[in-house]
Order: sequence, then structure tokens, then C-alpha cells
Amino acid sequence: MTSYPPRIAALLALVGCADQSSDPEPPGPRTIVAREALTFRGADGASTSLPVDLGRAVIQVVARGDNGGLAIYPGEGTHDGTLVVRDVPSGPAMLRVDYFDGSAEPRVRNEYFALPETGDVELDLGTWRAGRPDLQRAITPPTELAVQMSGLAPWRANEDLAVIYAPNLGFVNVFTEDVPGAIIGMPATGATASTLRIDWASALFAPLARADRGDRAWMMQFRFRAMGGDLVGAPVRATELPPFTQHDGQRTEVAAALAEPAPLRVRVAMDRDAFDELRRFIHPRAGLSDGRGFAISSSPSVVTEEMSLESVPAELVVIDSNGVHGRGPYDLGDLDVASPFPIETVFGRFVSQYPVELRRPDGFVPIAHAEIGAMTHELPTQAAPAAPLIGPVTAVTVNGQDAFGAPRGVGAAPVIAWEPPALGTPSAYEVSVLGPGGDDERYGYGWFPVAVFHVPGDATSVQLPPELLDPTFPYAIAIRAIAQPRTGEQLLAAPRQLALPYGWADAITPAFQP
Amino acid sequence: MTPSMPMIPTSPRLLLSLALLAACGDNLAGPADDDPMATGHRLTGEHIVRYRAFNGTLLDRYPVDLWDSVIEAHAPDGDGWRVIPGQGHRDGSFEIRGVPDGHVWLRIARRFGGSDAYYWTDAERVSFDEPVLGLADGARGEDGDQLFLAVDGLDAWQPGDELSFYVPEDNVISQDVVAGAPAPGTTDLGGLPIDWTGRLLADVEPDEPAFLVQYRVRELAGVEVRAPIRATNPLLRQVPGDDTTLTATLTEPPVLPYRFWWARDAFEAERTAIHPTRAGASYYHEYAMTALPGLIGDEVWGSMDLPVLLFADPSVLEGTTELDLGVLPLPNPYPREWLFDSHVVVFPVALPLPSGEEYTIEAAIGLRRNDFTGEAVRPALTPIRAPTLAGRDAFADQSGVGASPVLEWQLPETGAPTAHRIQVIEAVLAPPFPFPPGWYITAELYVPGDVTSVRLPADVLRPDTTYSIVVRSMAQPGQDIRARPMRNSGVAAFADAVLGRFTR
Repeated sequence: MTSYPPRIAALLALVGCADQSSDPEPPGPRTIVAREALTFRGADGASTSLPVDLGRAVIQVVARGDNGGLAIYPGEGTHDGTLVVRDVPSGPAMLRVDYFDGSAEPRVRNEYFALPETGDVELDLGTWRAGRPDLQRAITPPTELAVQMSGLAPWRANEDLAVIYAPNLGFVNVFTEDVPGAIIGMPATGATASTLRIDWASALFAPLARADRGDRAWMMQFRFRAMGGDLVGAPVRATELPPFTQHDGQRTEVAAALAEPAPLRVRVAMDRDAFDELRRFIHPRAGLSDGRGFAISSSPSVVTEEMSLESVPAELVVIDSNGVHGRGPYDLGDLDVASPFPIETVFGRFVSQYPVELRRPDGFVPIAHAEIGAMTHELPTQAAPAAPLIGPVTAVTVNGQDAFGAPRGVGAAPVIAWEPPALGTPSAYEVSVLGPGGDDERYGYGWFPVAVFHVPGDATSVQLPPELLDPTFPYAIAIRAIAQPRTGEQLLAAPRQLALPYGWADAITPAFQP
Repeated sequence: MTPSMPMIPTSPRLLLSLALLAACGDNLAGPADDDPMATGHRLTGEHIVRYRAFNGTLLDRYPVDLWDSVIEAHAPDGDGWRVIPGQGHRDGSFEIRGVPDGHVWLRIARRFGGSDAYYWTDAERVSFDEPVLGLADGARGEDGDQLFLAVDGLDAWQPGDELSFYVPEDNVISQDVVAGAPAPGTTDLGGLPIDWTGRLLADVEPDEPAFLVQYRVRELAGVEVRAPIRATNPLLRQVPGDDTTLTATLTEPPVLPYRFWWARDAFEAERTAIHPTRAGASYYHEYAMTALPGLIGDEVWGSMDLPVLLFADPSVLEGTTELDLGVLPLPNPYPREWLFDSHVVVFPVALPLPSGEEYTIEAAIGLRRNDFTGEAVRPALTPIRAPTLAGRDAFADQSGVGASPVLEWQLPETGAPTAHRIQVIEAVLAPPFPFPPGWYITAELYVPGDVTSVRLPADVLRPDTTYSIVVRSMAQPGQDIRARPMRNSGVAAFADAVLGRFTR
């Protein structure tokens, strides 16, 4: 099947790079192909890709046409998760995918991906997660799992929890107390052994484990204790359960000989000032931090090689979020964690959140939340508490006007430009165009992203396609600077893949009228 | 799968007031293999809603945003298709370049509403424009604005009476403007104040159609009907911030002798044409006589339908034998040419889900007419006949029909269709919340009425999915699927056929 799509002169979203090559561009045309799927990576080595339906997505490439002007090159998406755009000229270009989600109130969800400037392109827009997709859930009560726990630290009611984690099933559950007819056998105070009987059907409607499919489960005795006045939770005993297979409507027994693995020492310390010093770059009137996060987890992968935000992690250290609020140094001291997981799977996630008032034309002033965060395998120490890896971009302009100075008359296709962050080396940016309305909690309930541009880390500007903005509405721009070890070339080829350490920081402009 | 619209209960009851589709046609034959595909024409079009006065004056326009719609041409390419992507714009226009001569499927998959429609066309320009009568959104009453009804000549008011105020060009639709306020026996409203805060205002010019109608439920020919009893054509001009007095005297409208005679048995006889075994006896009959102010020439613009005759107890319509109520003396305050009656018979069709779960969809046969001949109303159009899919009996369940099978049929026994809508539906057993398992619309294909064979376009049928098809044949004078698919006419008829289940 050959097609000869025309060039329709109209618009462009081009990326401006800080350091552009002066090599002449080889002539086109070229073909852009992309595939998008959610791939399940099973513990048994099986890999199953579920294609994302692109049959209802609007597919375009925005590039410069023959006359040097901006042009749209329409493409075709299919139900099997592939898209193709033909006859695209060489040079800067971005691929637009306007997803159709079929929800009752569908919202525009445009994503633009920067493309390599020459040659045919094969893009991987996919994501992955650990586990298998063909789960069978327990539906017939009782489907009992009897976990014969031994080796517990003397149980402390109200402080201890039992956790079962099975990443290949995408499953984690916390057990706190008996539930008549569903969960029986939570240990009594002082007990070091107990048989925990869980009705996998009525209590959880949970997926059934199959040893032959590589399903494995871990059990942890999780304990909350006071440190420096704050409650901190972490496992004190743990074990990997022997492989077992469950059948719907049948009882399964498994032994859980909990022990103290070689402790993972974690410093519960966060350099809150290092985060807060970057607040001024978010927005001149960004408020004081109104939320922070500090957590240590394990993910089912070697996190420095690849990380999946879709996979279900096992939490290893959690902190009462009220404790980590406030300003100044935060250091609760060392904590020994009975982690049963390989150290290369363990990572910390540290976030500070800042409110930004974004006034809408109707007078409503919703609060958007900007984040500065880090996910890293380098766990905090006394000398190096958790700190940001990258700061927000600076000197944001809209068609040359200071974005924070109420720009006017910027036109329907303005250039958004910025300076790189003062802290960190960006590997990519996500430039979100926020429109009034919608309900995206990431930016507050008054605005939603009408488009997100995935821009390489060496770029410092992006031109919005002409028809993206409606001149009758105001818009704001949120730029997220991202630092991660994947190279620019890797991110061009697979923009949704990531590895640790991964840092991010937002800047959000006030609203402007095109 | 995108559960864009639940298939069931579909709403054949509204169909006669919805856009049906237009005639023209050609069979499926595509271009010859040696046609120069690369040097085609430019296929353009637009979708703009235009609001007009009775005299055609443009009052307002609303471009339908196509920037986020999928626009494609699917050109025949042997046994498959060559997809030529196009581009939609926010101003309602679209274009596809390099479209080969001959017929193609023009695909427009819209975000708002979720429809995915294909139009079989060889036109170089396709207009989805919709004319609408009246203002898009006129002036409204300010806080506290009153309309005083200095209206007399009412028939002595009875409980249940309604006084309706219609100004089609101003979009004023006040079905029960007095909300039961008059005391029984009242014949003069005496300046009764009506709060007009926030309501659309009327600005009636001389000779502009406007109606103040007293409706009553009463017995005509032995059955309880809701119909006009007194009426007038008011003149008034409301202004925001001012109170207004409507002064008028209602009188008895002229009587239209109207023969109500419904050959329900003739509709019932088409049950096996809908599906030979799966269609059950009809279980719903719908009738209404309405006035269509939007009838401009032989075209119907978007507008309100004004009630003329409704049955107070619709159950009198149920049954499978002839229903002859004789001649009804029907008071009619509206222009005779606006009057249309519609008769729709709805049949249940058992279409179990692949899981074995019972499921019923609806099929219908109906018509809308304005020549009240006094003869019994029979189907003006019957379902297509002898459908085949990939050369096999399409009323039977089939598997392995291929990714782009040919659907063929014979024209209906009665009537001359001007269009067919081929609705491809799929069984969705686990739809996303909050949709229940059932049959959902996958795509809708529109072809001219003389077409009797189509190949399904690319990428509609997917593996491991069970489908069915509902073919709705339509007859509407002036329909033009290839160039103006949204055109409506007053006189219309339709008939459904439901095919068996099939897999790719």
C-alpha cells in the first residue's frame, strides 16, 4: 500500500536548539513510523505487547514545507498501535498524536514528539510494566491463601502490618486486622508466628498466582515507629515466599519464614532548603511548599538501566507526610530496613510541591501545583540528604516577551523559549500548554493540558502550531525540565522510556491571551 | 474498541426528526488498477452550522471544529484500500490531497460525540453544513423582566390545559407558559404576569410566524388526544430590561379533517425482512403529528417541532392489526404545509453476546409524510433483501469473513431508497466504566440508495472481535450522500435489517 500524502501548508511546531548543527539537510522525503503499546514483561521471560488503539487518533507531522513555511503532513494511525506519516521533508519536525480516549467527556490530548532531523524514523512511543496481562482473578469464595508466618519480630498491634507483594501479578496488599469471613489470623501482640488466612476472592478479588508462570511473592512485616517525633514505617522482617499456585475456589498453603535480611541502611534526611531555593524559578509568586514526599521503594527492574512508572513497587520506607512538611534541614537519622530486594532495584522518591495561582478569565483562581522532584538509586546519607537533581528553566518568554510580564499580542502560534536550568543538565523538557477548564490534578482543577510537547534537552524553544491555540481563550505554559541518564538519541527514539536517577522541576507561567 | 454510543437502546423513535441521508449513487467499482494514484484531486469540505431567518438571512454561523477529527480517504486498491490521510481545521473545513478519481470512503471520525463515519463519494467537495432556523442564542430577559399576558378568547380553562408560546425564528419555545396558573373556567388572563428572567425574548415582525396556542387533552373519535383548541398569531417585541405586554385574542383554528388509519399489520409483515428468525413481534409504536417550521422548500432546517396531535395514552397505538380511528376533526393553527405525521414501529431483535448472554437490540420501520391521503399508512420503504457478507448468507452467523469483506444486498421490495446507513456494531464484553457489556457502534457507513454492494473500509474490523451490522435504508427526496450528507427533507422513510454475527 503506497500513499502520497500532500503537503498542506499551514502550521509548524519546530524545536529550536541551543546548539544546532550547520550541516546541510539532506533532501526528503522520508517516512515516519511509530508504534505504541503497553508491554507486559513477565517474570517467566514472556513479553506481551498490548497495542494502543491509534485508529481514532489524529496523526500529523509538523515540519517546514518546500516553500520554507510551516506545513502539516497528515498521517494514518491504526488499531494495531502503529502510525505512519509519509513524504516528510528533512529538517526539524514534530509528530502530533491526538489521542482519542473514548471517555464520556473526551478531552483533547495532544502530544508532540520531536523527531530526528534526517532519514526515515522508527519511533517507539510505548511503555512497559512488570507482570503478565493474562491474570485470572479469584471469584469463588472461599479461595483461601493460608500463609504460615514464622520468624516474626514480636508483633505490635497498631504498629505492625503484614504486606504481600507480587509484582508479576501487579499486586500488593497491606493487612492490618482481621475481617470476619475474609481475613483471619492477624498475629496477636507479642506473637512471632501465625497463620494468616486470606479469602483471595471475597476479601480482595485478587489475581491468582501461578508458579509455572514465574509468579513470586514476598511477605514483609512492616512496622511504624517514632523517629525524631515523626512516624516512619519500614519492614523489620521479610522473606520471599516459596513458589505456589492458586486455584479459584480452592485452598492454598504457603510457608512464610520471615527473617532479617542484611539491613539496608537509609538516612531519613531531606535537604528541604535545596528544594525551596528553586521555588523562585517556578513562578515569581509561587507559594511556600505545601506538600513534600519522601519514600524508599523497590521496583521490579534494575532502576539505573530502566524504570517503569507503570509497575507496582514495593514500599520500603514511608513517612507520615505531615512530618516532612516545613522548612530547613530534615534529618531523622539512620534507619535499618529489612529489605528482601536486590539493592539495584531500590530507589528513593523525593518531592516538594509548590502552589501557583493561575487566574482564569472568569475570575476563578485555581491553584496549580508545581513539583521539584527526584527519583534516584542513590539513597540519602547524612552528608548528602535527598536533594533536587535539576531546577526549573529560567527566563521563559512567549514570542520574545517575558512570560511572567503579562505578554500581549503574541499571536496564535507563538514561540515559547527559555534558558536551561541553573541546576542540573536537562535531557528533555515537557512543555505543556494549559487551557482553562478540565480537571487535571497535576496542574490544579482549573486548567488542563491541551497539548504536551516532548522536547530534547538541548532545545530552548518550541513554536506552537497555529491551530493549537484558540484566540478567544487564555493559555498558560508549564515547562518541566527533566534530567535522566538516557541520551538525547535514545529519547528521540523512545521518548517515554526512563532510567534513574531521574529529576524533574516545573516552571509555570501566568495565563496569556494569544 | 471505542464505546462511542451505546447501541441499545437505540433510539429509532427520534429517527424521523434526525438527519437522514441523501441519494445519488454508484456501485462499488473502484478505479482501474492502472489509474495514476499519485495524481488525484483535492477533496475538500466543511461543516458549518448556519443560523438563518425564514427568508434565508444569515443570523449566525458556528464552524464545527474538525482540528481534532480524523479525516481520511480510503481508495479502493485491489481487494484492499489505500488510506490517504487528510487534515481538519478549527474553522470547520477539511481537505485531502491526492485522492484518486472515482469513489472513495471519506472517513470523518469526530472527537465530540465519538462518531466514526464513512461516506461513499466521488465528489470533490462534501458539505456537512447544517442549516438551522432562527437565532443561535438571542437576547434574554434581565432579572425581573415580566411578560404580561393580556390574552382573552381562551376556551374556558380546564385543569391540564396548556398555553404554549412559539416564535420559531427567535427560538422561543414556551410549552406551558402559564404553568397551570389560570383558575378553571378562565377565558381572560387579564394581564397575568410571567417572569421572563433569563428566557429568550421574542421579537415578532408582522407576518413572522408566531403562535400562542391553547392545548387540551380531550376526546376525538373516541380516544384521548392532546391537540390545539384555541390559537392566535401574536405580535410583540420584547426588550431586555423592559416589561412587555402580549395582547391577543385566541380563536378556534380551522379544522383539518384527518383520517387516522394505520395498517400496523403491513408493518408487522416486514418482521422477517428485518431478520428471518431473530426479529420478534413489534413491541412499540410511535405516532405524532407535528408542524415543522424549519421546512424551507422541500428541505428541513434544524428547528423545533410543534405538536399538533399526540395520543394522551400511547398504549392505544400498540397492536399488530389495523388501527382505524376514522376522520378526526383536528383544529390546526399552523400552516398546512408544515404538517407531517410520523409512524414508527419498533421490533426487538435478539442478538446474544458472544458470551452467550441474551441481548436485544431494536430495529424499526417508519415514515414521515405530509400528504394525508386518507388511505391506510403502510411502509413506504421496506428492508434490504438477501444480504450476503463475503459471499455468504449475512443473516446467518459467519466467521472468517476477512478484514474487508464485501457486503451485498438486493434493493427493498417496497420503495426506492436514497441512502443506506450500514452500522457496524461490535460486541464489547468488558467496556470501560461506566458502560455495560453490550453492542456498541464501531463505524457507520453511508452509501447512496442505488448502491447494493460495498467493501468494508480498512481497519474497521479487528481480529478476535464479534460484529454485526444494522442496515438502515432511507428514502428522502433530494438526499445527496456524495456531496451533502446532512441534508434533511420533510418526507422520509426508513427500514432496518439486522444481520447475523460475524468475525473477521
